[in-house]
Order: sequence, then C-alpha cells, then structure tokens
Amino acid sequence: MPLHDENSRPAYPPMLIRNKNPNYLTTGLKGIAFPLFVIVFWELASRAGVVNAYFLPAPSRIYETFVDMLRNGLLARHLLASIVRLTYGFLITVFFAVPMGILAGKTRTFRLWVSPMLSFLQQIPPIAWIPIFILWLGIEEASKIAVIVYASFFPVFLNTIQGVTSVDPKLVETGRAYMLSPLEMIRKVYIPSAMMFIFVGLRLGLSNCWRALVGAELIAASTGIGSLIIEGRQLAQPDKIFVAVLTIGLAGLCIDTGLKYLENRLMPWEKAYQSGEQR
Amino acid sequence: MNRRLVEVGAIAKTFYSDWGKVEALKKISFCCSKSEFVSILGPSGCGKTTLLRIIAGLEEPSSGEVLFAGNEIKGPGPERAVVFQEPRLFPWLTVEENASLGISGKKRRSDLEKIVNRTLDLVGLTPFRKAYPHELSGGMAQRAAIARALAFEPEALLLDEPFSALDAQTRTRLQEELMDLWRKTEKTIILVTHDIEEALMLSQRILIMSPSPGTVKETVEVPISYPRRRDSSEFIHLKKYILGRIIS
Ligand SMILES: Nc1ncnc2c1ncn2[C@@H]1O[C@H](COP(=O)(O)OP(=O)(O)OP(=O)(O)O)[C@@H](O)[C@H]1O
Ligand SMILES: [Mg+2]
Repeated sequence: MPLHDENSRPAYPPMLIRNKNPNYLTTGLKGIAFPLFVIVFWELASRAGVVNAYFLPAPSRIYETFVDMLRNGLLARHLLASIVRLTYGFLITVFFAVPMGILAGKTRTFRLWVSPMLSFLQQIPPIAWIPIFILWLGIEEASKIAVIVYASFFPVFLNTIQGVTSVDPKLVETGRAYMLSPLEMIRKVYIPSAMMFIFVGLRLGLSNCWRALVGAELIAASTGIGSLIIEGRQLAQPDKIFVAVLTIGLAGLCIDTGLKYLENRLMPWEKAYQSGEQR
Repeated sequence: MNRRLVEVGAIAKTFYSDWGKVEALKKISFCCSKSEFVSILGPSGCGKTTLLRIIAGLEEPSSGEVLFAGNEIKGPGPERAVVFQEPRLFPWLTVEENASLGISGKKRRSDLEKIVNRTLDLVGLTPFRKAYPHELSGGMAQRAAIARALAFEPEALLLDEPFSALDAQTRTRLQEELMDLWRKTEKTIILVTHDIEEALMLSQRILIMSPSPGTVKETVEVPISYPRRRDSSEFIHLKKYILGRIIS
C-alpha cells in the first residue's frame, strides 16, 4: 500500500514548517522566574534586617536610586558616553579586522608571517594594556578606544579568516559547473559562507568590547558607566554601584540580543547550516 | 540522428594520494550521439562519478581527451549541466534562487521566471519555492538540484545517481518525468546509476563498468521500444543477461 499518492505534493505550505520555533512567551517567563525569585528573597532578607544595608542595599532601594538617576539624567549621560566609545572602537575594529581577515584567509604567506605574533597578543587581556595605552595616547578618549579595538580585534579577525578559509569546495565547484562569473562567485558563494563566521566574530567581539570598556573606565575616566561605579565607591553609595553594575549587564544583554536578531534576519538559513544539516 | 555529440577517447585517470595511487579509470572510450540516452552502470567505486566529472569538465583526465560536438572539453560549459550525487544546494538561497543559479544573470527577468516556474512544477517543488534547503527533505533537495540542471537548459544532461536517495514512488515518478522530458526536448542524457532496472527502463544503451581499474566491460544496446514495462519478457531477459555479466 502506498504511503502517499503518485503525485505526492505536500499538502501543507512551507510557512508551517518555518514557524515551529518555540513559544517566546513561555520561554521568556521561565527565564524571568528565577531572577524574580532571587529579588523577592533578597528584598525579604533586607526588610528582616538579615543583611547590612551598606553592603547589600535592598532591591527597592536600588530601584529608587535607579529611578532617581534616570530622572536627573545621570545614568543616560554615562551610558551614552560608554556607548559612543563602544561604537567608535567597534567601527574601527570592523574597518580593519574584516579586510585583514579576508587578506589573511586568502594568502598563506600573510598567515605564516603574522599569525604567531597574533596568537601571542591574543593571550594578553586588554586590561593589561591600559596603563601603556594611557602612557601613549593620554588619559582621554583615545586610550579607551584603543582598549576596545584591542579587545574586539581578535574575535573578528580570526573568525573572518575562518570564514574565508572554510568555504565549502563542493559549492565552489557547483558554482563553476553552472558557469558563475567571478563576481557572482563572490556574491553567491564566498560572502554568504564567510558571513556566518564573520557575524559570530562580531558578536563575540562586541561583548568583549563591552567588558573591556567598563574595565578601562574603572581605571581612568570621568564619564562612562564604569566611572559611575568608582563614583559610587568614593561617595560610599553602594546603591549607585549596584545600579551601574546591573545597567552594564542589561546593556550588554540588549546589544547581544540586537545582534542576534539582526543575524536571524540577515541569515535565516544559518542555524540549520551550523548544526550540520547542510544540503 | 547519428551525429556524435560526446566522444570519449581513451581516457585514463589516476589519483595520487598519501597512501598510494588509485587507477580510477583506464582506457575508456565511447561515443554518445545527439539526443541519445546512455546509462553508465557499475558497482560502487568503479569510477562512474570520475568519468562523469571529466565529461562535465570539472576534472582533467590523466591521458586521452573528451570532445563535445567536436571541440575538446576544457572546463564546464553552458551546453552541459550536472546533477551531482549529493544535492549541493546553496544554503543561503531559496529553492527558486537555487534553481535559477545558472541562469539568473544571463536571462531576461520574465523568461527567467517562466523557466523556473516550469522546472519547479516539473519536480513538484512549487509549494516550496520560497523555502531554504534546510527546510527540505533529502529527496526534495535532490529534486531541487534536478530543477537547477533543467533550468540551465543544456544540450546534454549529466546525471550522477540523481534518484538514488529517493523513495520508490518518487523515483518512479521522476524517472517517468525524465523520460517525458527527454522525448520532448531530445536532450542528450548521460545517466550514472547502479540500478539495473533504472538503466533498462530509461536508456538506449548501457555501458557496464567494472572496478579497479575502472573500465567499460561491455556495451549493451537496449532495443526495447518506449514506453517500457518492467514485466515484459524482453526486459526480464535483458536484466538477467546484464546481471550475469556484472557478476562474472
Ligand atoms: N579526488 C579523489 N582523490 C583520490 N581518489 C579519488 C578521488 N575521487 C575518486 N577517487 C577514487 O576513484 C575511484 C572511483 O571513484 P568514483 O567516485 O568515481 O566511484 P563511483 O563509481 O562514482 O562510486 P559510487 O557508486 O560509490 O559513487 C575510487 O576508488 C575513489 O577512491
Ligand atoms: Mg559516484
């Protein structure tokens, strides 16, 4: 007995297949439930006087400070300062690291000459360079941007190399068999397959950037979200410190989510491709 | 009718690798006239894919030469289209974009649309034209690859076991479609297969290959008229004969 008739055309439209992603509402609720539980517990402990408010202010107190800082524009000013730095630094990275990565991926000699030194540099955390950068570039913006560039350069650069070198030779051959012009070959084969890797590098680079930037601002800055933490410590206002720390986490999360969203929009095929379901 | 389109002249192919050399093909010669349907039949590893790749211009023979319409084949060309053993779709292109891979820059937009519509309809993928390859089943992906070759509108189709990943029903249907297409368009078709019945159902001539080194052991004419039936006595007779030749 046949499983389906001779002209077996599937009865369901393609959209049905694509829409099987998990329900965002329930997964979102699950993700929020745990932090909520911690906050409630923390608040109760604070009210009961179990913890010293100087070491660990109550969530309600932190929230008040947060609203205050939002009202008087303090938070926005510092956050904006950090994000502007991040943007400059990251754009510089993309401008250099992607073309250099393509070059390095395409030419073996470049890799041979440069990659040992890069592997060495990669081991040094960006924070370690801050004093040197300040010495060279001054205490102003330039040194902070240098830290950001340093922090994000390697993920972007190395993933670009990976992307360029790991283009599937079978697809290149298919392109050849179907007479693609060199330009079409770049547009339809090389760029899309390198793009997935480059995007992974960008996401990694951006989150590295964010961490390194806050570190740099902790050491020397009068603006920025990191300097806000120092200010809180100097003024003995732990609630301010907490607001700054939580903002760092939230902003980092927002940046990553934004990039992930962009990635899904630009490359809807990518997930299946990476899990090896390539056809 | 008897104009020679593909002429394979005493080609050999030896692969050298770290662990030794493999004589994939040795002294292979055959001709294929225009509008002929030829099957290449043989067990796994006997060099069928290698032979087809050489005709496609993707691989160079170690010695000998292949002519297409009298000209030596030096690389891929618009008059030949390959369906590989695996689908090899581009993951970032939708089914219709994959199908129009070879013609998208080269045809007028309205013509392009017409060709793609027709070929997708032929392989039964019209409802999935906007889907990405990862949303297809294995057999659907293979059908998309066939659509890509058809849309290229070549003189000769080079098919490397195009139906081996499909279920029996779909395979039979696509074999019939291929038959139809061949009789309508009079394309020259070279079909690699390890399925005796498939070769007998479709082709006018069967090259039986034997392995290590890959050679053409025998060429069998199939004088049965179309449409063919698997249960006709001629069919069964020829099948027994070929089976015997392969085993001996
Ligand atoms: N690129 C290569 N490098 C080295 N050896 C190769 C290469 N391609 C094919 N061979 C060898 O050539 C021989 C024939 O391979 P080929 O792929 O042509 O076989 P086939 O008849 O298509 O087999 P199958 O039915 O399993 O697809 C095999 O022994 C294989 O190991
Ligand atoms: Mg093969």
